[in-house]
Amino acid sequence: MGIDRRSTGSNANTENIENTENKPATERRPPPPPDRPGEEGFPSRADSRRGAAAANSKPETAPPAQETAGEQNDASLETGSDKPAASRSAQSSESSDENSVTDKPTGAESGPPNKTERADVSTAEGLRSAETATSESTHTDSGMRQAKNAGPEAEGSRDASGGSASFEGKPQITDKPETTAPTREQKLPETSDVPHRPADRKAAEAPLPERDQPGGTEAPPTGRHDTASRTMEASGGTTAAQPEGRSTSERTGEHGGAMAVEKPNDKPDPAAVVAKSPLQLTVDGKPLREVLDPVGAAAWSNEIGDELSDPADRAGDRVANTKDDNAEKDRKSRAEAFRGAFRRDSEKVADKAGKGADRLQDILTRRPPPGHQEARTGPDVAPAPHQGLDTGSAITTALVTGALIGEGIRFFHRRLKEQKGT
Amino acid sequence: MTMAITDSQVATLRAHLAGNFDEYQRLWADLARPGAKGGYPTLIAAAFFEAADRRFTKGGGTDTDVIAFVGSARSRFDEKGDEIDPHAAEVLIRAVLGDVTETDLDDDTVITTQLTLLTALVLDEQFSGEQLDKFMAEARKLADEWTD
Repeated sequence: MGIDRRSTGSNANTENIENTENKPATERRPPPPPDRPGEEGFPSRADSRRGAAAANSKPETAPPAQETAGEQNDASLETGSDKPAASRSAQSSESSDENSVTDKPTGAESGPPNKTERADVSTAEGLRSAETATSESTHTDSGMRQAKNAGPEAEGSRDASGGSASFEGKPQITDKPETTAPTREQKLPETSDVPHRPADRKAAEAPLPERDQPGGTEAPPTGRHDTASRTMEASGGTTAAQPEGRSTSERTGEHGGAMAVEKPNDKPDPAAVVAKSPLQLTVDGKPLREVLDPVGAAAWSNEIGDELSDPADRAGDRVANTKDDNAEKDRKSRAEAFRGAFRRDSEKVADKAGKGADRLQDILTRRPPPGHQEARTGPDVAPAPHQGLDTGSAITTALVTGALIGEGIRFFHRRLKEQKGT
Repeated sequence: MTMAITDSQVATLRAHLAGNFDEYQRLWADLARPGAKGGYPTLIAAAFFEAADRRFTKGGGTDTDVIAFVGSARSRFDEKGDEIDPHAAEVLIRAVLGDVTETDLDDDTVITTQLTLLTALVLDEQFSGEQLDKFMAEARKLADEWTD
C-alpha cells in the first residue's frame, strides 16, 4: 500500500477508499473478536509473529515490482505478492491495498489460510489500519500533506479506528468507529513486536525521530502508536503524524482502556483528583463542607439568632449602645456654645444678679399662704316663695284696712262740721 | 477676669433656690467683699443650663413647652409685665437646646432672665435638700469647666 500511495499520491488514497466501498459484501470478512484470537479464519498473535518471521526470512520472494515501486516494502506486500490478486494490487498504482487484502480470502477459499497468510493478514492489517487512517483523514486530494496537517488527534483517532474499518471493507466505519472492531492493542503490536526487516529493526531501535524532521514523518514519543508508526515507516507506509502521541482511545475512549492508561498527556479527572487528594480542609475535625452546609440545616433555619453561651456576658453591647455617648457629646457641645454666647461674668453683672434675687425674693415672700379657696355652695338667685296667706299678713292687712277706714270717717266728719259752721 | 467658683457662691445660690432668704442675705453680704463675687454669674449661668437641660432635653423641648414655661414664669415673677423679656427668655432656653448660638442681649437682661428662669425651674422641680445639693454640685462642676 505504500507503493500505491507514493505512486499515486493522494488520489490513490481516495481511490483506495472507493475501491473498498465498491467491494462486494461477500468479500468482507468480519473483524476477529478480541476474545477469540487465532480462531479459524482470524490470525492470532502467534500466527502473525510466525508469518512476520517467515516474511522476513525470505525477502527474495518479493517481486521486482515491489522493489522498484519503493523502499516501503512490508510483509504484507511481500507475502501478498504470492497471490495473484496481491501482485496485481502491488503492480497497479491504481489498485488499493484493500484489494490485496481482501483477495487473500478469495484465494484461500478452498481451505483455511495457512500461517503465512495469517501473518500476511495480520501484518497488513496493522499497516492498513495506519494507512487507511491516513487515507481517511485525507478524503480530499491533499493526501499526505493533509494527513500531517490534519492534526495529531485526527490522525491518531483514525489510525486506530480506521484501521479496522479498512480491514472490514466498510468505509462507513471511518466516520463511525465501531466498538466491536479490534483495537490497536490487538493489531498493531502484532506487527511491531518483531521487526520484519533490518530497516524495521533499526527504526525500532533508533531513538524517536523529532517532529518535523526532514523525513517527513513524525513519530509519537511513546506508546504503542510509536512502535506501529515506526513499523509503518520502515515498511514503506507513510505514517500519519502523531506528534502528541494521542490515540483514538484518548479521544473516543472506545478502543481499549489499556491504551488510555498509557496516554502520555492524560489529563487528570478533576473529580478523581479531588477524591484522591490527601488535602482535606477540616474545621474542628469536621470536613469543611459539613461546617458550611451542615446536614439538616433546614430544620432549624427558622430560628432567629444564636443562643448566648453566657447570658450574663454583655460584651459588645456597648458597641450598639452609643446613644448615651452621643448624648453626652451633644450636651458638652451645647454647653460650650451656651457658655460662649451667654456667660457674662463681672462684678457689675454679679451686682445685677443680687438685685434680681432681691426682687424675686420679695415676690416669693408676698405669695398668698396656702389654703382653700372660697366657693359658692348654693345658687346665685334665691327661688321665689310659693306659700299662701298667713296669719301675720291677714292681721297686718286688717290693721291697715281699719286705719284707713278710721281716717276716712274722721275726714268726712270734719268736713261736715265745717259746712255747718260756715 | 475669670474667678473660680467658691463654696460661698455655691452656698449663696443654694440658699436663694431653697427659699432660705435670710441665709441668702447673710451669704450675699459675705460676697460683698471685693473680688468675692467673681464667678458668681458663671455659676448662675451653669445652674440655669443644667436646670433647663434637665427640663427640656429629657422632658421635652418643643417650642410649645418653651413658650408655656416662659409664660408661667412671667405670671409668677413679673408683676408689672416688663421685668422679664419673653424673647430673651425663649432665646436662652433655645440656646440650651442648641438651637441658638448667638445673641445680642445685654448683660443685665441675660443675667436677670437667667436667674428668674433658674428660680422658676428649680421651684418646679421641687427638689429635696439632697437633690438640690446634687444639682448644685453638677452646676458647680460645669461652672468650673467654663472658668478653666
